This record gives sequence, C-alpha cells and structure tokens, in this order.
Amino acid sequence: MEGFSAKIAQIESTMSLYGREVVIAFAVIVFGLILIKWINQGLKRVFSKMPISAAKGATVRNVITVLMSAALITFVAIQLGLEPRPVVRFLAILTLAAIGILMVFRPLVPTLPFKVGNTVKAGDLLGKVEATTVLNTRLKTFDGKTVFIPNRKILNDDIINYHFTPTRRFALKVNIKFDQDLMKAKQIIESIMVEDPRVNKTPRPVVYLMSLEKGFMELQGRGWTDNVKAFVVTRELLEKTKLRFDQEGFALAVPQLQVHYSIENTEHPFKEI
Amino acid sequence: MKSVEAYKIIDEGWTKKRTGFRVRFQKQVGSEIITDYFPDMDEGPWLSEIAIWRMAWKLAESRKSDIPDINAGDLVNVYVVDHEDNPVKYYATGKFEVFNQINIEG
Repeated sequence: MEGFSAKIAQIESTMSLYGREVVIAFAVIVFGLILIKWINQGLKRVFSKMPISAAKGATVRNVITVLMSAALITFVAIQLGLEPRPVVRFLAILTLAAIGILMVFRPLVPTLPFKVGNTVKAGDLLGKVEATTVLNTRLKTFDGKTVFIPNRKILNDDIINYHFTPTRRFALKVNIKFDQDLMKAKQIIESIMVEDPRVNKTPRPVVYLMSLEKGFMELQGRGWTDNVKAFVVTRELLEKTKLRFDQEGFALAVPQLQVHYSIENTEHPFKEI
Repeated sequence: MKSVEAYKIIDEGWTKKRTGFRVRFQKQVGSEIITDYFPDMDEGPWLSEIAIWRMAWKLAESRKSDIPDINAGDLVNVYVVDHEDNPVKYYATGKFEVFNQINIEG
C-alpha cells in the first residue's frame, strides 16, 4: 500500500513539474494530426482536378504526409523540452533505417500486379482499380459496381492488366452455309474491318476459314483495336457484317447436327405393329 | 514492287479507311437555308458509323418538316459524310440515304 502511495506521489510531482508541457504536447499532436488529414484531403481534391495519374497523386500526398508528420513529431518533442538536434538525428536515423529495410526486403514482398487507375480483369470481374490497401483491392466495374477483392485471392488468381497492352485483337465470328460464296464472304468481312476508323492499320485485318467440320463454313475476321474500344467495335462490326450479308443475299448458318438413320436391313425400333 | 508500295496501292484503290463521320444537314436561318454539321467542325468527328447514323436519324425525326415547307428549326436533307465530306452509304441498306429529304432548289 505504501508503494502504491509512493507511486501516486511520484506521478503527482512529475505532473506538477511537466504536466503543462505534456497537455500542450498532446493537444498539439491531436490538432496536428487533424490538420495533416485536412491537408491530405485538400490535396486529393486538387490533384483530382490536375492532369496527373491517381497513382502519382497518391505518392506525392504520402510523401507530404510523412514530412508533415515528422515535422509535427519534432515540434512536439521540442515542446516537451528535448534538444532539437538529437530529435532530428533520431528521426533521420529512423528514416534511413526504414528506407534500408524497404530496399532490402521489397523484392521479397509479394506485390499486386497493378496500380491504382489500371483496368484489370480479376477472375470474372472487369473494372478499374480505385484503391489498394494491405488487405483488399477496390475495383469499380464498368456496370457501376464497387467490388472489394481480398488481395490474397488476387495473388492466387490469373490477372489481366490492360494497362500494359493498349491494343487488343478482336474476332468477328460468322458462320455461312457450304453453298455460299466463300471468297465474297471473306472480302465483305475484311472490307468492313479495313474501313472502320477504330481498327488499326497494322497488323492488317485478316479473315480465316476456321473449320468445315461443324456442318457449315466457320469464318473469323481478326483485327486489332484499342482496349477501351474493343467491346463496342466488335459488336458494331458484327452488326454491319450481318446487315451486309443480308444485302448480298448470304445465308448465315447456325450450329446444327444431322443424323442419318438407315432402316434397311435393321430392326426399326419405332415400326408399326 | 516492295510490300509497302503494294499495300499503299491497295489502301488507296480498294476499301479506304475512313477517319471519322459527321452528320450533314440543312436548316433555315431567317430567309436563308444554311448547311451545318454535327459534330461542329471545331470538334472531332465521331468514329462509329453506326452511332453517327443513329444520331442522324434521331436529329431528322426530332425536327421533321411538313413537306414541301420548311419551318424555322427544321433539319432537312440529313445524311452522314466521311472525313472528306463524301456521302456515306447507310450501312443498314447499302444505299445512299437522306433523312427528311426536301428539294430546296426546286
């Protein structure tokens, strides 16, 4: 009991000596952190209006936040009566140690195969990466949904990052009957692809006869276009192809199965009794 | 002949690559009939032939005139042109098509 009273007396004497400084330092830290948060949010709004990528903006904001936090810690330490020089020295050593650790261990740390702002396909989800945290990734799909995907799932799954491949090959799949003019059909599909402004000049669009074994001639026109236009381009070229084939009198084929059954010399299962 | 030359001949002589489309139309301003374009010439052309034809049809339908009269605001002789101001065949019919067609000179 005496020991406890002694400790209370010690705290009382310490608080009477340094209490004012401790309270001021605590208030400065709280106020400073709120101010840093406000500045961070303000910078976010400013950067969103400037022509810089979201990833670069986030990096600049993080650097500014770290510098302001360091300045706040230094200021508070000085307020508490510490010498400025050792405090700055300590912070410098801490920063250098952090950089060193990062440089050594960074190659060993699994990193996400995309950055904020990239368009990616993760599993069945296609969308733009809005934010990444230690635990999950926030993806905005093109139909307006915001999806939070756990990073461990992303690291174990196949990811397509469209940022690295600005163009994509599209395929126009058209099936025509065997009695149709193959060369004319190929010419129509190729000309539709060539004349479209969104289809790249190189590699040049080509049309292949893919197979004959399905009961029709399976044609496929292939061309290259920008990633962001690929969906619309493919659908519109398909629409134009269908209408042009109609105008030219082509008969499109649908998948079918012909069954030949001979009843000669066999016991017919459905014969009339 | 080198392949570059051969492809150049094909590009110029066979199917030409278009660089964009506009809707060309006429409208009455005061007592005059003027020709205008959508999008404006200071804006970039549309790259989708399907979208621009749809736009042309909607514009014509929205400002139809009582033939043979043209009222202020009517959009007549509406059709699609390419980057060289050449009329483009309507992809749905394969023919040159003009929406809300009126013979202004006659």
